[in-house]
Amino acid sequence: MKEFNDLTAFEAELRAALKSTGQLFPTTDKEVEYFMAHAPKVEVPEKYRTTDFLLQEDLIPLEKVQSKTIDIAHTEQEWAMAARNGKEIPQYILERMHEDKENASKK
Amino acid sequence: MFNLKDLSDNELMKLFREEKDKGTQLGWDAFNEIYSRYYDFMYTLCQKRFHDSAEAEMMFIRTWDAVKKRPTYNRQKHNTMFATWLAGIAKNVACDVDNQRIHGDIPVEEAIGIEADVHDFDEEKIPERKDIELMSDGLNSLPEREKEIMLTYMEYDTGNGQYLPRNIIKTLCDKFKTTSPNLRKIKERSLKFLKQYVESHR
Repeated sequence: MKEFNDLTAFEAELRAALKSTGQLFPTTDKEVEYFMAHAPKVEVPEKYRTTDFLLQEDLIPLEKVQSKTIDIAHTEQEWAMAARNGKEIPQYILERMHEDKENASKK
Repeated sequence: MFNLKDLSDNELMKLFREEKDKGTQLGWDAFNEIYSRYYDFMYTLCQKRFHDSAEAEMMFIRTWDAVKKRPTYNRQKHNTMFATWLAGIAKNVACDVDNQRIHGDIPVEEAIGIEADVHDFDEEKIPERKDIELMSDGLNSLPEREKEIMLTYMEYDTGNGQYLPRNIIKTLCDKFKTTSPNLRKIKERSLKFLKQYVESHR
């Protein structure tokens, strides 16, 4: 595995990783290809399966965008499962992630 | 008569561009064909990028609206796949929306016109899959504040001499009731935590 010599080298790798998983916008063909191959597909609502909405609606003013918070924990777990070819995340990894999160909060 | 399904993405965009101002059905059919190829990719990307589903839908709509208004994609010129160009448009739309929220409602035609085609196309290599998984897991184990600050820094500060704009720094400072030097410290600390996380879980 590639070693990270310093924080700058790690940051570049991290940026590419996050763009490949869609946590940042991908900007290269390789990142887009990775995203297309591995991202769990999201069900697209019927109204966005054709371009009719682009003809019918004016753009929604920003102040009228109603927040509907997505269940982040659920979607992140789906992503992590997809990265493991659909296998469930083992309990010990979930516990370790939980511990890491708590430790990071304490810092 | 040719079948639109046989055309490449580049040919479809060229056809749409040429027919757009004439308002022909052929132009609109070309746009519909390219849309049918990529709407699920863009919808999935927006939902992944934004944890608020309403925000994600708004970005999805604005991105396609930008493509409809400025269909400038050209394979030779951009030297990238259509999907990559589309993701670049979405990124620019998201940055413009941030600016609109800070500075007031700029008409979207003007906003998307600023840098609709500008994004970096470095052919940087992506990490090994195992590292990608670990980095993603590590990021998700950060508290929400640290995660948002990290992602905002990394989205804007591309490592190519572009930096986080002052208005975005101010927005983060206001939101998290902290100072600009502290923001950078939080980002550096989170970065160190992630590096350590990846190295210790390998």
